[in-house]
Amino acid sequence: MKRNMRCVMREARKGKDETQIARILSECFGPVTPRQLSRWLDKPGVKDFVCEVEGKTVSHIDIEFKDLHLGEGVYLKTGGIGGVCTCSDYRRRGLMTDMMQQTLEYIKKANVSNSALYTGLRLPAHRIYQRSGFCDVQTWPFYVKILNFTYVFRRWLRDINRAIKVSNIAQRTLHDWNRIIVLELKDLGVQSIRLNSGHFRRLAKSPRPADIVIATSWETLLRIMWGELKFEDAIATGKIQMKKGSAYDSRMLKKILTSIWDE
Amino acid sequence: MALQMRQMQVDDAEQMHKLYQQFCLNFVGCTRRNLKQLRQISRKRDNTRWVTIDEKGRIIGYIYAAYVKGRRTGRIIEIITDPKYDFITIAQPLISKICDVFLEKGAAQVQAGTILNPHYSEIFPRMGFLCINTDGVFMYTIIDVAQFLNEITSIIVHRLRKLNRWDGLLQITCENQHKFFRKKGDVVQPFLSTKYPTDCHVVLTANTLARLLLGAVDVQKALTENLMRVETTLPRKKTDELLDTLFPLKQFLALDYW
Repeated sequence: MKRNMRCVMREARKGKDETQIARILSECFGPVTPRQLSRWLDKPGVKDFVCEVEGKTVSHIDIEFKDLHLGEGVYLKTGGIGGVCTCSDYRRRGLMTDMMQQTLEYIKKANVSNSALYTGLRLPAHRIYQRSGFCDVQTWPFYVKILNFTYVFRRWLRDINRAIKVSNIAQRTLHDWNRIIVLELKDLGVQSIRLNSGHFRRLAKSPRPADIVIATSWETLLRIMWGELKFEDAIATGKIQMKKGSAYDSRMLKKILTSIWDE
Repeated sequence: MALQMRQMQVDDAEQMHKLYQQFCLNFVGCTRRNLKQLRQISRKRDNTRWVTIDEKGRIIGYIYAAYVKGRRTGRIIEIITDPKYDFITIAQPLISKICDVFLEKGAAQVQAGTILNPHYSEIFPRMGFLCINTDGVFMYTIIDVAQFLNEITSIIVHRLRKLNRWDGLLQITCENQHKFFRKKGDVVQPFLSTKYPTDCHVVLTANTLARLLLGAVDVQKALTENLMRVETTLPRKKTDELLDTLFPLKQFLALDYW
C-alpha cells in the first residue's frame, strides 16, 4: 500500500459511524460495542474524529476537554486526547501522525493552550506522541489484590479470547500457531491451555506431551502484562522458566501477554 | 478523635465537593469535579461509597469505589481526605471497610489504580496488595505558549507574593514568548514588555515548563541538567529561593483517566 494515501479527517457522525469506530477501537483496546460508543458520543464536551482512506474509516481519535489543576487552585482547560487507534492494515503510514497534528490544531482553534493524554511507554503510539510534541510527565503504580486466582485466570483467558476475536492483527499473528501450553503457576498449580486458531481453551487434564511448558508465578505474569517487567528479562532472571518451547514460541507468548501485536 | 464511617448519601455531595477542592490544592494534575458529578457518585445505592465523619458530623474523608459484578472485580477509584487530617489515619479504615464489602460481594480481585498518591505505597502493600509499576504514562504538551503563559500568570503571581524579602523584576521566556513580573512588597504586577533590565531572567522550553508545573522534574535538577537557563543579578541563594518558590515540586495526582 502506498505511504502517501489520500486521507480525509472529519468529525464522527452520530448514528452513522459507531459501527466502524467500534471495529477500530476493538482492534486496539479490546471489545467495544457501537452502543457503548453511541453513549460516549452523547457525552458533553466530547469530540470524535475519524480518518477515511478511500471511503473506509481507518483511524479514530477523540478529544474530551477537561479542567486540569496546575497549582494554587488554578484549573487550566486542557484538550484530553483518547481513543487513538488505527486499523492494523493501515498502520506505519503516517496517518496517525497527520491526524494528531490536525487534532492539536483543532484544540488550539478551540482556544485551548495545552493537551494531555494517557498511554503506555512500550506502545508504538508513544513515539507518535513524542513526535507530536508531547513529553512524559508521570508513570504510576497500580495496586492489586488477588483473592481468587482460579477465577482471575479463567477471566483472563476469556478476555484474551474476546480481544483476539475482534483484532485482525492478533488473528493473523496467531493463525498458524496452534499449541498446547502447560503453565506451572506457583499460586495456582498446573494449568493447561490449548490454543487453536486464535482461541484459547482451558484443558481439564495436563496433556502429554505439551508443546510449551512454563514455570512462573501469577505475579510475574501480571508484572509483564502491566509493563513493569519485560518478558525477555523475566526469562533471563529465571522468573519465567521456559522448560519446553522454541524462541518463536517465546516471542508469541510475549505478544499474548502484553497484547502488543505489532512488531 | 472519634471518627465514624457511614455510607454516602446524596446530601453529602456539597461537603464532598469542598473536600475534593481542598484536597486537590496540594496536588497538580487533578481534574476539576463539579457538584453534579459528585451527586451522581453519592446517589448510587451501593455500599461501595463511604464517608468518614468527625465528632461534629462533618465529612473529613470519603472513598469512592465500584464493584464490577461481571468481572468479580472491586475497584477503588478515589480516596479524598481533609488535608488537615493525616491521610493514612482516615484512608486506611475506609479501604479496610471497602475490602470487606468486596469480599462479601464475592470479589475475585481488588484493584486500586489512582495516579499517583504517595500515601498509597504506605497503605496498600501493608494490606496485602501487590504493587505493580505500570508503564502507563501521562503525557502533556503546550500547544500555544503565549496563551499558556497568560493562563498561568495567576499561579506565578500567587507564588511570587509568597516570596519574602525580595522586590524586583522577573522575566520568564518560553519558546521566544516573554512574560514579566514586577514585585513590590505584596503587589505583583504582570506585563508583556518593559524597557527596564530584569533582576532574574528564566529561559526554558515549553516541555520543561510543563514538567516543572506538573511536578515531573525538580527545578534544581532542571538547572543542573541544563533544561533551563537563568540569567540573574541576584545572589545564588536568593535565586534558588526565587526558583523554588516559582516552581515548587508538587505531587502529580490524577484521579480519573479519560
